[in-house]
Amino acid sequence: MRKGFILLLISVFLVCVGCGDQLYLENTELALLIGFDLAENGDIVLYSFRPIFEKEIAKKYEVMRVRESHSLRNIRKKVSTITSGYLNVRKLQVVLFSKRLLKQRNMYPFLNELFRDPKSELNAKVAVFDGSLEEIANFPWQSKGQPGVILPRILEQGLHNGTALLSTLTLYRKQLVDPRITPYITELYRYQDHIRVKGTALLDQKGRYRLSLNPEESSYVMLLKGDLKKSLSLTFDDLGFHLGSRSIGIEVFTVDRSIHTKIKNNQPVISVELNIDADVTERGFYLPIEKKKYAQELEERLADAIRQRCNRIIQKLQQHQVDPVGWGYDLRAQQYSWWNEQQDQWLTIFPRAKITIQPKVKVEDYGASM
Amino acid sequence: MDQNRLSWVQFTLLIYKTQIGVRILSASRILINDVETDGWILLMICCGIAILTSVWIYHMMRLHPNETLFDLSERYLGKWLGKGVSLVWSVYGWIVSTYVLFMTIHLINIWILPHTRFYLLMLLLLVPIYMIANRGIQMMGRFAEFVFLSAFFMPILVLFALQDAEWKNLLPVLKDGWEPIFRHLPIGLPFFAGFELSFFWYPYIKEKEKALRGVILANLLTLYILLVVTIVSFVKFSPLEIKQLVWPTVSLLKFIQFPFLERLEVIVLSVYIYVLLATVIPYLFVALLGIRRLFGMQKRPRTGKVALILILTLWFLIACFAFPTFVDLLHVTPLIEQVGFFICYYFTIAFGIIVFLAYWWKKVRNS
Repeated sequence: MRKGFILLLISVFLVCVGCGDQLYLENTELALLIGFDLAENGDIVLYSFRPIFEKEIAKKYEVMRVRESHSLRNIRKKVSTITSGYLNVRKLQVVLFSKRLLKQRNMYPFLNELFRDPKSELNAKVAVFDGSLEEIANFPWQSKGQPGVILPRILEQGLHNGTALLSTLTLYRKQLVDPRITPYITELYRYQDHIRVKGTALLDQKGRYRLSLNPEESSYVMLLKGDLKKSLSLTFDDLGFHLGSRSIGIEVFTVDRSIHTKIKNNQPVISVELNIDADVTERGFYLPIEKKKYAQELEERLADAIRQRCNRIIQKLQQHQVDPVGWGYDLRAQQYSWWNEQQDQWLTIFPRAKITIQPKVKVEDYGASM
Repeated sequence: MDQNRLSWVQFTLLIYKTQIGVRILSASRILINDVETDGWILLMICCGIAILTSVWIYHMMRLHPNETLFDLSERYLGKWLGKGVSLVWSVYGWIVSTYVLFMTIHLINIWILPHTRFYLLMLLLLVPIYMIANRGIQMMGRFAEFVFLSAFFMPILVLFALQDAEWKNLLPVLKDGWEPIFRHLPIGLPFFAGFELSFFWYPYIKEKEKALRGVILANLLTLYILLVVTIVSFVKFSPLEIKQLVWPTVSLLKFIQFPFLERLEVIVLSVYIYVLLATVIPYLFVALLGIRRLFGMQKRPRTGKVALILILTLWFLIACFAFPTFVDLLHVTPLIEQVGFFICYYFTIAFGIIVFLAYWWKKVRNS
């Protein structure tokens, strides 16, 4: 009997060991969305959006602005002097940067604490906002919902529709650290009463903003990466058929990519074969596709149009010395000894690399109308 | 000596779970520094060497099926040298178990309970350690079975991280040829440390003819887990990124998200404490066996229990007053690996040569 009592006492005591680590929801500044903007004097302003759980309060979120220049750690310290709790990033959904800030500063060292703390949520999505973050803070969220819930959905949707490439904190770190690829993040902007996807922002190897791609161009980068999340819709105005209205739209389902690299005169030569399976979803002109000749011609012209657009984008990327597609991966895998010597200069070599795209389109079906 | 208490499955799992320890959590980082993403080839070769050494041990133990290493060393090396061997092995067992236990506590501290005091965590872990180590070999066998079943889901879970994996990271295979792989074999061999404890389990096995199969199976199981963990981290992280992570294997779990569950690594690490205890306890048990041997088994039957309580008290006091920091542990790691390497491979092979020569000589003289 006494032995049992002692055992019970010990087990109760042992269960209580973890009590030192308790965390009350009321005492934490549970940030779902944090944003960083640039102040006039060069400081960084942190915007933190926290949901409010109390029923009596009509407004469902709170925005906080804190200024600091050194690191996230210092900001978090300041936050705790302002509010009732410590800024908690364990449920973080989105990290926003303003475009102005990314043009001037590499934010990766600033965020070091986020990557070091084992408890932080590294699957949070990263996005850049074209404009001041004040626009997001003053946005009429009341009629939309929690900013920490709505924004991730917008970003996710952008990826699924193929209008923008999406990056998470882990991907952001991976792409900054890896010499084979440069980082890309989704770009958002505010248009009247909507937050919309503007396309993809490309950063250089030092984490600074370089250029933006519009949704159309983002789709082609996705195609070049051979990595579709769902399907990709592409439209073409004019394929050269002289038959009334000329627009045609296709839905790409799978891309099969094979890449061959060569080193010629110490310059990389990359040839990319894209095997594209697509459905025609829109065709504003009549074409007797039951005849094999016409169907083949259509496929060839589609492939041609895709090649032209890909080439235009590659030119643009080469001009700005960014490689979001990650051709460095293939060069390292196939030309290891060359890559080992040149990997630090890859982005300066990249503009001179000869990249040829050979798409092959296979139309699976034409929908319900001829 | 109590005989015949370990089934061959228990024996296999006991060795296998001893081999899976702290090092597997940072396996890919350890490998990538020296052999890039060819680490998986290195691991396969090391597994081969570990299996050969295990077979060597098996043949040694088969000569005297009812004796442990301690009896063997006294038989072949004389009383005093034999006692020396017992002393070395006790100290080795104690050091390894202490190291793994302290690492476990730091792991819990860093990932799960950052504000909880070390001595409280130590107290929690000492209870099962005492209960299992005190009951002896049969309980350890059962514990190994339990751990195997409860940790069975982990390698499967890691495969969930394969979404968006970049398989090109593994290419080209054999980047710099075979030379760096053979040069860095000593880095891969400690991953398999743990098979050397079959020196002590062998007399307890029921089906002795299956012991060889068991020890080979254990090494292969360990290789399988190591391969899963390292290859998944190689394709998921980029090589430079792995160098920034202390425990790439745990970081892998961060990628896995279910609609109903996030931060999976906390749950997995909580279960992983069992796996780590299954490394701590066998080594501690070997230390206890050694101490019993050194201080007379027949005369004082309670030596083992007293020693166990003393060791646990010592651990608790260390946790209270002078617990080493994580950085301290990182600094002693290479030393412990070297000691382990020496004992697992050099000692085993040298001792085996002595045993086989002496046995052969005796046979020749008798006939």
